[in-house]
Amino acid sequence: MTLTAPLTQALPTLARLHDQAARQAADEGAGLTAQMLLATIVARYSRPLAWTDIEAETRPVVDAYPSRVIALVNDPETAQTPEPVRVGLLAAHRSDGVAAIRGELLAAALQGRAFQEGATVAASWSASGIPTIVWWNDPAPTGDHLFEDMLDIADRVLVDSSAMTDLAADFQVLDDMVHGSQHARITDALWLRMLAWRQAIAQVFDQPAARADLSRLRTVELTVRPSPGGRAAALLLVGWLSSRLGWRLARRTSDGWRLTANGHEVQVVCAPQAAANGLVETVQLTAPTGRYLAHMPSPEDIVVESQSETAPISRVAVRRPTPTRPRLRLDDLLTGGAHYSVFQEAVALARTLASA
Amino acid sequence: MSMNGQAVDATLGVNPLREGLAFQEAPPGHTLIIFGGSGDLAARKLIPALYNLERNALLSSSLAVVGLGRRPMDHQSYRARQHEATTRFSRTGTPDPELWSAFEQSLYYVRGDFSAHAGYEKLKRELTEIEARHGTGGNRIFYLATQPSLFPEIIRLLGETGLSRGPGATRIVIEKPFGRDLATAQTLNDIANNVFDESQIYRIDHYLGKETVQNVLVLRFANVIFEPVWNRRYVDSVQITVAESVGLEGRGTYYEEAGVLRDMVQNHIMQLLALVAMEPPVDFEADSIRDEKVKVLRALRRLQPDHVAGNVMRAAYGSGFVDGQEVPAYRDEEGVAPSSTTETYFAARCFIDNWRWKGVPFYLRSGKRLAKRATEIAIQFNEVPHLLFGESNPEGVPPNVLAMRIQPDEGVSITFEAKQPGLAMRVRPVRMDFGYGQSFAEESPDAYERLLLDVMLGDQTLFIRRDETEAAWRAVMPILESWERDSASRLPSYEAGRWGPRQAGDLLRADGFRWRRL
Repeated sequence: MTLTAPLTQALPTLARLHDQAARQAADEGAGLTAQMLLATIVARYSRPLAWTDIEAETRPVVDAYPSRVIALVNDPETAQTPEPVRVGLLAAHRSDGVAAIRGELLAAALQGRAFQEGATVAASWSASGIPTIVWWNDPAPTGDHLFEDMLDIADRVLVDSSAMTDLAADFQVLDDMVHGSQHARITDALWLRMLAWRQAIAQVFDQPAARADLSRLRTVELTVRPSPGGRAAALLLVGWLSSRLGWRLARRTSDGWRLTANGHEVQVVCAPQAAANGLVETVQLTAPTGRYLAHMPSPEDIVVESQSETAPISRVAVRRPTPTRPRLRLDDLLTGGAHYSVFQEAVALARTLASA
Repeated sequence: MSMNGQAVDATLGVNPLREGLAFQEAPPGHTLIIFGGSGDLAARKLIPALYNLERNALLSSSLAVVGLGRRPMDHQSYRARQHEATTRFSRTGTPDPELWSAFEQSLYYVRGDFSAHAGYEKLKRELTEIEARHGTGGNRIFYLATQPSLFPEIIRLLGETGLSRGPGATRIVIEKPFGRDLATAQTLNDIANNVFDESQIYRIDHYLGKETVQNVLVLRFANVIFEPVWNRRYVDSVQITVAESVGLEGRGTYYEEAGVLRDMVQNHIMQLLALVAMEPPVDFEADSIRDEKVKVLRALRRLQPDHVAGNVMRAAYGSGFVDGQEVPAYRDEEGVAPSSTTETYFAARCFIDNWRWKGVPFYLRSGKRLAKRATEIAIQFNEVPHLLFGESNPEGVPPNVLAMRIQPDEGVSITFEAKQPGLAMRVRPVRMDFGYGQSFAEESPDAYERLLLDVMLGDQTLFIRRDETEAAWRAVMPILESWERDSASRLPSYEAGRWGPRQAGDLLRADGFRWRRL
């Protein structure tokens, strides 16, 4: 069920839609409940996109996290239509059989200056009292007027560094954002997707015997997809390891970097791997007393195998989210702020490495 | 721990890579050995819980599950049987074929007589092979899901055969009831502590695994608005209800021995009471929380023998209608003696003698075949000291009530007064409601999912410590002793499908309260 509306009538139209849905459910003798909204999500599309495509992108998000989604679509072909807003409710049947409205979708087709001033639309339509999340699906918003405005209205801005094209410049922008934003916190979707890698690598060093090898690591070898996204993933992983272990850049090498740690050097090698399961295929950490190989035997598993003189356990495994789970875990996104400093430090190191 | 540019020191006691990842901690490999592996608990709860953990990618891939039992069965039959049970009892319905096919490879069945050494020697041999195949690291969890009377013998034999000292971490999970009274609980605890260290023992009360029970702690200690009024100065009374509409469900023999006091009150209700009344712990560590719970249980006023009758009510259900279906009386149920004096309903008024709660009555009730299934904790606050709007509200205004609904329709509601629209200054109670179903799209995990994961992670926060269970027994012993002395009396009965015997209302009426309608 959708309705169209002029810009100024979007919210009354949404209210009308709720009334219609409730009446229809009552007429059919069916139950209907409206889930309490937990966030407003503002998604920006720089190119025209069909309603069905926007709905398809939105549905898994609201299924996991009931939200009001405001889609700002840059559509240069849009004439001065009197009703450029399309409003819909996203419902699903719960396990108890009752239909539940899990999301509200308001899509505005805007052009030119109106699109650039889209933050005013988002500010006006945002639900009060709940977080506003801006989903920015372009890599480097430097100097973008809309992005600057969005930072003012958002509690959190979601970017995706796997879409970066110029790693040195784009990591600089990302680093400036995560350290510079006064109000909004920045979340990198790639950082979230790399969680399972960090988890698997950290887990193998939970054993005290293996932990001693952390200060003796001499090489880090990564194989990554030969793309900017693959290299961005490698930078975030090496940035994370470096920030946690106190490594500092010594110099760039032909195939990676040399870092200093505790008076010795750590050699980081980053090699392209065409047959990668994901952006990262393997991460191998080597110390004189042990070798730790993290790899992806399938798109859903990360396994770390260790051969260490001291650590008894030889294998740990971490599952990545299955395809049935939503692509975007907004609860991860919202709670991730509790450890924002880890992300900030990793990005700062990744920027240094990318610029070397 | 931020490294602040300092290179990591190998002597550091914590894993520097863990920062920010603590909540995603995954358990290491384990072998879960279920005594009573072909029984009801394994089929209804344990295996479906394990499957759902696997479905959510929360288990180690190095997990093996060994069901132990007397029935003849091979691994394949056991797997097929558990598949059928998971299809029937899992909260997520029919298992995904591909996922189940991978999951069932970790399920094994070992047949034997586990009341003698030979069974354990056989188990030892099987474990060596299974652990090598799955790379479990030798970590073992023994889960006692048999009849409680077998617990002492199993624990003793685990010790005698050396299985309690495995190659990796070894833990034991003991299902309730922990004894029949204080003496048998102490004996069971002594036997368990002779074989296992207390840090290896996980006494499970599945109520503590419920999200809404854990939310009691969050509500109290993650909000600033409740704790200042959470004491005798502002709270008039507290009601805790654990009501079931079901009857015995084939457990007549067990229930006849237990009764509602042992089945629900000594464990579930005492745990809810402790969570509601405890002081803030210094941190969220297992022992910090359990220390505070024990203090509450120790502060429960012990009833003198001649006070039991005036503060405690028991009854058994008669025939009646539940949800429109006619149901038999308790004494006509299978496995129940016609002259039974086992109680299916319990209600009590109790007091906690400490600074926070002195003088505040806590009303507890639990029963079978009541009007509906409902578990709730309700805090009733004092009336306002002076009513400004008395002229338009000659009957006064009802007090504020904070109700925590544990199940079903999980949530929290606050009742408060609001001005009724109109020219008169009339006041009417309204309800502000938070519902889990409305606020969170994700379904809550089953209590056993949470608890099994915690055992694998070695987190005892939601498990009951020895002193806790013994303190809870101490609190109810005067009631049990009084009832035993009075065992010849015929219990009052209540009509099935109602809210218990009418006399239960007398416990509150004298104090000016009445049971909440749920």
